[in-house]
Amino acid sequence: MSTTTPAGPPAGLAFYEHVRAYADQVRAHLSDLRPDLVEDLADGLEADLAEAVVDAPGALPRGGDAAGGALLDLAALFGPPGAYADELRAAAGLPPRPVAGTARPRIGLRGRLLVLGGILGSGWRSLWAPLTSTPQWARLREFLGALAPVWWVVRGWVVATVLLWVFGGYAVAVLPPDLSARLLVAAAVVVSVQWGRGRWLPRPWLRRGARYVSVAAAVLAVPLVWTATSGPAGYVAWDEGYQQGFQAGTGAVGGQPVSYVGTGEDGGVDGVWVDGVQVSNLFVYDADGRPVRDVQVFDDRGRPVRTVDVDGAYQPWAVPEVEGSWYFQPALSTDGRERWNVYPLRAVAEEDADHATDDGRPVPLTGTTAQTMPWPFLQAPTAVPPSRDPSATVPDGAHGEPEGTPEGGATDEPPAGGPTGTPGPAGESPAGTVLPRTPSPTPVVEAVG
Amino acid sequence: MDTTQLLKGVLDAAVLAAVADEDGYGYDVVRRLRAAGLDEVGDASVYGTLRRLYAHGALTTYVVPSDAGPHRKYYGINAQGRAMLDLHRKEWQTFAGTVSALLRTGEVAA
Repeated sequence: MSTTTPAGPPAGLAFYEHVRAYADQVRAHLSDLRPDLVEDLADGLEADLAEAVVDAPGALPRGGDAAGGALLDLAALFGPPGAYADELRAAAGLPPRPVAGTARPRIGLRGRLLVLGGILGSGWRSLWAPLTSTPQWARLREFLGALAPVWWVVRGWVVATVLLWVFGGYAVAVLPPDLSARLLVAAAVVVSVQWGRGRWLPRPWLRRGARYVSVAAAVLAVPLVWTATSGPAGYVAWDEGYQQGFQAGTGAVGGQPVSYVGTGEDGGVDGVWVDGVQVSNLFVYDADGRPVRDVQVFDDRGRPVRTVDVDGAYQPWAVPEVEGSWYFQPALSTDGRERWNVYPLRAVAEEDADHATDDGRPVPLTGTTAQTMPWPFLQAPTAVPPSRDPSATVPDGAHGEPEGTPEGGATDEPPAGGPTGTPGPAGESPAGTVLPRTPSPTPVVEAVG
Repeated sequence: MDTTQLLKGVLDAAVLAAVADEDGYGYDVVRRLRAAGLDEVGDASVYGTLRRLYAHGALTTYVVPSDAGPHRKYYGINAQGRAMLDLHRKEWQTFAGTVSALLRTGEVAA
């Protein structure tokens, strides 16, 4: 269609080459369209261009050198080929060229999502337009805009609280219990406020990340604030104690690492706690300060006192003064029931543990036995005279049978080494003298049953 | 006033009118519009408009081979195009009358 010489141009083939080059550039800018559309749009373009050049006054150099090398600047006449192509497609009602270049548009999943989001977003906006176009709405927006700094502080608190909760095991609280965590909250608030003021966001991806963080914080803010502020009275105080205990338990603060056991679903904590540190084992001394073994411990409601709850029986524990991890073992009553409130608990080293029982609780391997854990003192202070008060003895049936007590058997006779029993060894120290902790275990006396 | 913006709104009507009496090829139509006084009309705009009107069924097209140069693609108006042109005329006259009256009033007020 475009191979013959142009219609009536005086400048010959060189002129026509210019026209065709310009037309090809225009087509190149249409190359993202379907080929038949390009053909439809640019068909006969050379002829039209050529004629337009001829018509344009002074555009065509006439003269001897025109056929040779005179530069025919079609772009000066028609504009850049890209702009010409844009005008062509716009007038033809076709979509504008994609910004990236001349490649066919690849929409992709992200593009589709953006389009879908745009459609949904505009629909959502138009849905609320009757409300959002009112002057009251504008005033509300202005008012809320003035509260933005409050949101910045909340955002920092939310981020810090989530971090502490996920990585530090802290419960959600208005202020975390210890100084380092409070410093983290303060730092997060400072960063959040600086972000809100447009500072400290040197890179675009940081800006984008900050936006995601803001959205997440906005979603989490309400439940977190609710949790932190709406607990029952005393919740916070209890919580702080628990947190300190937990921290000590994980070895973060105290020197007595005790494995963390877990909390009850209703917020209560199983086990025994002293000064916020969970107790793994109990050691009883009589009035003379001598160790007493195999003591059953009950609380004032007659419940057996367990330092190791059901979950704890499956977990290895760290024990002061001895290496390794230990599985505590219950005493057995005469009827074969496990008794977890008989102290001191014995334990089996992790490497000697066998998981062969039906319920998977670690028990001593065949050929090994549970060992007595080291006593904190060989002899305890003896400030307390042995009680002569008859009322100190437990009256018969005061509380009925303690919970979990088997019929007959263990409770009928005092455990060996009980208050009236024989004292343990190591009774030589003078009264009131506290010996340093010693790792030497007391020989195991037969447990109850 | 930016007449190119005004032109965009009436280009369909202008192109239809340019081929209403006589068929023409692309640059032919450009030339007629310019001769009629629309100096600022863009070549590409006219070509694109011709393709669009054709695609919408308002124009017919046929190719005329040329001995001396490339073939020419001629456009002619059809019944649908004439109906469209009539509609454009009415709308333009109403619009032009309204705007003229408005501007005349403004002139007096000023």
